Amino acid sequence: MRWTYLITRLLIVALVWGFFAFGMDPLLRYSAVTALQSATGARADVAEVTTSFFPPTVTVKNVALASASRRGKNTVEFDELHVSLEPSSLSRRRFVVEEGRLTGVRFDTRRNDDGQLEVVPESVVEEPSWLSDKAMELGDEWLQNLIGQAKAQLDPNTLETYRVGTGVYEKWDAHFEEIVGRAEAMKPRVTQLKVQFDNAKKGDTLQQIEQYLQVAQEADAVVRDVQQFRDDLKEIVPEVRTDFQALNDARQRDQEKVKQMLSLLKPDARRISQALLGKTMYLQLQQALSWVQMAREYKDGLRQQIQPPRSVGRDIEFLVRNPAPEFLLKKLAMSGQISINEEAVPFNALVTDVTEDPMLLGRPCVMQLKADGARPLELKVTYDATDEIPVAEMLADYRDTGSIPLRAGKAQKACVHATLSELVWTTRLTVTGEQIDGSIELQSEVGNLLFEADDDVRSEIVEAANEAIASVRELNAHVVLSGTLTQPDIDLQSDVGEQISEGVQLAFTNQLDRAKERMISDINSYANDHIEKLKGRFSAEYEKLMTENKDLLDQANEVRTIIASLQSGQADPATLIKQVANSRLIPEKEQKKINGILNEVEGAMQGKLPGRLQEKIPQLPPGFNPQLPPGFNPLMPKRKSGQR
Amino acid sequence: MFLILRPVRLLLKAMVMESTPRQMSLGLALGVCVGLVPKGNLLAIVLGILLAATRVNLAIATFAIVVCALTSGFADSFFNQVGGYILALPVLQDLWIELANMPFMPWTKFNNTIVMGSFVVGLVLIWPIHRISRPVFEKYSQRLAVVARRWWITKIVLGAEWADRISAVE
Repeated sequence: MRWTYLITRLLIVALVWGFFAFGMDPLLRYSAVTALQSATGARADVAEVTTSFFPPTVTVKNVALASASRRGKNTVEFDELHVSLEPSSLSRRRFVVEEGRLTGVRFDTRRNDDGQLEVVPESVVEEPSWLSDKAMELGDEWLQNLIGQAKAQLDPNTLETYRVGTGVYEKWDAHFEEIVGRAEAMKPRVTQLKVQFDNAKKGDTLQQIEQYLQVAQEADAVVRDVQQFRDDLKEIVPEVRTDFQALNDARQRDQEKVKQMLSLLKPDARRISQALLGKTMYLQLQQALSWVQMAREYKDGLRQQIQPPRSVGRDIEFLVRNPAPEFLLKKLAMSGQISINEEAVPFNALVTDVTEDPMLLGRPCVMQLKADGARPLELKVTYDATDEIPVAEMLADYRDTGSIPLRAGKAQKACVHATLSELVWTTRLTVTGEQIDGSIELQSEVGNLLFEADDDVRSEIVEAANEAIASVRELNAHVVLSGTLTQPDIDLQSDVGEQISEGVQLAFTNQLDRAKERMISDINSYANDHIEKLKGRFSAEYEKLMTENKDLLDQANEVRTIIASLQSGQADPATLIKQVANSRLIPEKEQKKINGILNEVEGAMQGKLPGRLQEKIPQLPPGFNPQLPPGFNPLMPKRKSGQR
Repeated sequence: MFLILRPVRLLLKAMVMESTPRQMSLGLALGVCVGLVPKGNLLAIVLGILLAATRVNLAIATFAIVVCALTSGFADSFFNQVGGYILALPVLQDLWIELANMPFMPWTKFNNTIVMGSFVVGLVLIWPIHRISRPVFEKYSQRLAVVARRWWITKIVLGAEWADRISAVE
């Protein structure tokens, strides 16, 4: 064998050895960085990768995975990962980690750079959309709503009495306006008639009669209209009575309604619970779901890492006598610090049976975590994908000895403050496929429970509410979760909500009783006022109309009577003159004059001389009464006894 | 300069040492075979080791590997069909199953259609390439050696003594 042959082959062997000794670890490190950056979408720092073949081990040191969504922050960082691979499995191209150790794990740590890749990854949605929706429903205005509700219920405009009263008032107001309008419209006609009467008084009696005859037609029309007006006024009386009755009925119904609705006025306990605890509970729920989600997603992520995108060509799977997953992490012990409520808490965890093919393995993946310190946490996440439908289960018991301030409502308006301490969280969550089923329970002590409100709420109410809720010392909350991962149904219940609700209701009760009495009184006075006002207006308008036009109506009636007599043709001139003379259409002086003349005419017609003539002819004996020739009828009718 | 040049010269001398037409044609044939097989699997590594273990002209083999590695992608669909056919042959199923259950064999990725196809095509091409290229090397190696000897770079890299020994006929 020539030495040149040996040198060549030795050189090649040396190159191969050199690659495995010095080139493989950097190559693995480069591959690891590339794979991690591809998976996280942010910078991944791997300080060192060390491998050994006998036994096969891999040690990765000082790894920091930057957060794609938070610049300058690491999602996770650890000091060392050491895994021992199973040699026999490795020879069959399977990566079975017999035992692993992950130390110095820290979450959410700071970086020196921003940790972002040059290629901007797609934005990461940190919280599920339903959480935002729920946060919007937290109900900061629970008390404001109550006050608004009370105001709305005490609003006079919502009461029937006010509606009916206003309606009746407006109706009759319009009606009276119309009546007054009709009366006003009649006035010029009456005035004109008066003028005509006054004109008729001038001149001698016969001329007056003639003029009276001329105004008779107009007077007749006026009288008819006035009488119609009077009839109309009388006819509205029953309608007014009906409306008064309707107003009275409305008042009685409102009184009952006010009594009933104020007794139902109570804050929504569920809303108070939601406002007070919603955010805390939902964040806890989100945390729990994120653990479950992480357990659900690890399998796919693992499969992608183990089976990188293949080049063209197909892999034909042949029968394997002892099938096993390509990757199996039998046991990985972890230690480090976990962030609980933004506080680093030391923890120890054990992850078992992590594989990309749980069905083949036949065992679920289990993660158990225990954190000590002021916030002890015991967590167990099980992901069982051994069946067609994977089931993820999470059990968590968490105790927080610190205090959490809570606030329900808006500080500028009305809110309840509280401080929770000695919190004990118990979470049971199961995700089967996309279905969620679980609950989160919270038990804690409550301190500094304080109700505050602005000037809209009376100070007595605030004091009474605080007295009522001062006895609340414990808080128990219960969130029941169902539905799907994308659209979960969340029902939050808490005894403290009910207690606060009752306290506030109690505080409101006294005030509401007063409000109730005041309101009933207001209703009564309003109804009475309206009734009295309508009555008064009705009477006043009616009387006014009657008084103002009484004389005119009487005169018109008399004229009408005279005219009626003339038109009938049965009246003799003497009777007509007497009617006119006796009416108030002619002044009293004129009436006496007419009566004197009439008496003289009557005496002369019966053979008597007028008094002045009798005095001038003394030879005629007193009581001289010449007889009229037979067949001569006196022009004037005979006067009845007692008639002047 | 001497310290840098000496190891390189030693390596190059070793590569061009087996320079008979037969060794050159075998180097070309084996280089094509190794070059066609996709890298990154145990099969390529084993083939490379086997190539290195044989007394063939490594320079020509390396040249063939590089050229074939760069151009074999164009023939992937052909390799895919060939590999798929071979892996699906019923008479070979027991063999494949046996191989699949053997240690280290999964690392060869023999079950990949392109790996299998390119490997089989490479194997099939070894003999024809050797037979065809050998007369060509016999005919042109002397002329090439004369030209190469005249190159100043050859003298610098290999030294005057070894430059003269280029293309020494078997």
